[in-house]
Amino acid sequence: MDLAVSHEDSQILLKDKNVLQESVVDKYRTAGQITQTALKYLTGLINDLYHYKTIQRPMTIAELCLLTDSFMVTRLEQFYKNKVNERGIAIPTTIDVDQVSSGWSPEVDDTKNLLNWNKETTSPEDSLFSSVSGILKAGDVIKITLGVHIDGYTSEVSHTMVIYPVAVNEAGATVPAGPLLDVKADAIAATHIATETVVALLACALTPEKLPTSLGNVVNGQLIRLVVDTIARSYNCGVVPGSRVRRIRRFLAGQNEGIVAEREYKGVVWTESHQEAQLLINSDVKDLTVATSSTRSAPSAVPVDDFTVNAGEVFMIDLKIAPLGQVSKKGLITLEVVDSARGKSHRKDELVARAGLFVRDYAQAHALKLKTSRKLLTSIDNNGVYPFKLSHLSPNFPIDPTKDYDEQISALDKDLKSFRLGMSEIANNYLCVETPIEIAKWVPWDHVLKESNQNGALSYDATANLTLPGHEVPLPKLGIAALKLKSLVRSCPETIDLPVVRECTTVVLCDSDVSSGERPELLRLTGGSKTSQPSWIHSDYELNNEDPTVQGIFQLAELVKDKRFGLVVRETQPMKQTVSQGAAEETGMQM
Amino acid sequence: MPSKNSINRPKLTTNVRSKQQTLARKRDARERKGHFTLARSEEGSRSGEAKSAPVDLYFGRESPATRRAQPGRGGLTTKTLSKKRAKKIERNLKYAAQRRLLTDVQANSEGADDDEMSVDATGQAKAIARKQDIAAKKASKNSGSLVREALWKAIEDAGSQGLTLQTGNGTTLGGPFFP
Repeated sequence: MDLAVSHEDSQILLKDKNVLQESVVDKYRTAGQITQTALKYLTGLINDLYHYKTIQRPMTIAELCLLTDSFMVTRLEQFYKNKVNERGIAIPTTIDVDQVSSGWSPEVDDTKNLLNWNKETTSPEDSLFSSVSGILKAGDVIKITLGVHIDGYTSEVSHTMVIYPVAVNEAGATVPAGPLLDVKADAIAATHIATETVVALLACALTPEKLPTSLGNVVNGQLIRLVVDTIARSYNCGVVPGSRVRRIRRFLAGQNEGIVAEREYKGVVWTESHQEAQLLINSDVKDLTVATSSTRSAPSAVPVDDFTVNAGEVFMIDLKIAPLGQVSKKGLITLEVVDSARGKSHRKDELVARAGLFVRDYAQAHALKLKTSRKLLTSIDNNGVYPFKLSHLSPNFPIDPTKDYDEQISALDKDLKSFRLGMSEIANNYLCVETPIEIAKWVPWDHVLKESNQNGALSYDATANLTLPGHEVPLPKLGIAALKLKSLVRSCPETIDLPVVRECTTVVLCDSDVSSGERPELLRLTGGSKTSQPSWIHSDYELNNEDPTVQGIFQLAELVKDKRFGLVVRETQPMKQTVSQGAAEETGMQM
Repeated sequence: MPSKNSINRPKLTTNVRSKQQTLARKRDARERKGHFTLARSEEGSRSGEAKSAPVDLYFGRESPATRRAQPGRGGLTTKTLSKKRAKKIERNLKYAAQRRLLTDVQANSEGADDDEMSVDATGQAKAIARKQDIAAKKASKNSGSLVREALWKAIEDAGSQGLTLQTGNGTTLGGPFFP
């Protein structure tokens, strides 16, 4: 369905409101500050729980998500009150453990259900058990993702943490027992270096003359892909489908990818088709390589690498990288959507979980029958275009740290019961779309190639997860559709789960008229040295300095360090935690 | 005509005849529906060409129905070719040959300029041309198998891993603290 929006209005919404002015940058900065503070709050909670062990009461992932969401909402209350129409959570807190790639954000009432559903399938030794039980264990790699928007100006962050076994050093302080040496360490190193390099690359877009000569003379999509792929390959890793480096605009922060076809999509995306093209690129079959340099006359919703990064734009760098150290063959990295149903076709080792995040699809209309659903839909519609959790709609949200914690949780639990009832009707009529929980899988290529594929790319998957326009067929050259790939992943005995590491950061490319100094600068809203420091790891791999691309990457790192002649990168700092009235960080202590 | 219950009623003759008629009717219906014709993808398929039983008989081609039942043996058929029809076919063939000769001469006289718009091919010629096209495509490798071949080559090529360097000191990030 097309929503009728006049040309003038769409000009204002898409163009004028996205021009970087002082006020816009200020909203971005405030959103970034809140995101940074919330990330700091959550990492602090996890450290207190699992490392310093100052909080005795065990807290599940669901509770951590809920507390962080409450923290974000309480913090948002203090800014732009009555000044903007919309502000809120841009992405509810998700905590993904190991192979869970995205979307793990259970509600508080899911904790018992998850254990019950997965009773026979997961044992405590299983790497999925941390997700199921909600209690983390040493050696887990967790990805925290959260975000906040003010008036549609969005800042998102993802950060990867490692849960360590703890030791006490000579000074009497609690420290990690040692660096992480697993294959996961390769992925953490690759992701950290790739993110920092892409940030520096985007900063170069403001001053293209500073770009190292080995990387060309203009920052475009191909260059970003080359750099990220090079770093991932150097660390024997692969980029997980769903990674992206994309421009974000007001209310268009990638939260509706696959639901709304976004006109003038500008960004690099990584999908299965790119892995296929990567393999074919070395082959002598020249006409089979992916045609990237198309001359597009009209702006399209299909993402291609054929764009140039300009000043005055906001970019989100969202990279997910998986290590390939434990596999000996070449394989395809793909994502499997976790199913909430258990039936005959359900495998023994498969995870059962239901998605916690929903997005309203405003293109759909339906007259709902249940009163509960209608009431729920009204509150969803007030919530805006961003993903939400059911608990956010409850009157008992946010959790107030001054009141009794258990009482509030049980009240929330009661609210969720009626919400679930209403949500089932809403979701069944496609008024809301679940954000899927995805697990990273690896399938060997030989299994994919041996399989016959009679239907070609024509087979249709009604349960397909959200795809970007133009990327509906995961392997277009082989003609393997999403449904076929799904069955391939399930049928292959060699398929394994891959741990995923994720870093996401939002950056604003400020030209000299909006920057704090007189030089153009890159304002890093989220991530950076204050909140997203890498965990202690050691990887056996390193970047090969003989490669010209790698030389360019090292030069970029030098440029960021050089304060006088290099690139100006400014980071948004987290706020002081103690000044607010919603000092939720004490919640942990009270309980 | 004896009545239905008459003693002298020739039961066998009528019954056999009606049975044969029923079978023939059914067979005809099946043939009309195209159950005996070959699949369009098959080698000997004559889909799209003009269909004529007498011409088939004249050239001694098997009808699809009998070929299905007894391949290569030419089974029982009710289709006949009259002397008159055979003569007509002969005559038409002569005319067709003359016509072809004429167009060839015309094409030669007009020279070999390819800009000329081609005369609209008849339906039959079109069908034959299309079939030849398909056959040619089948003979050459399709793009899917080319991709598969290229991918097999790529995954068997172990040397193209490139770049990974494990000889140095490796990479260490972070330190002995909880960030």
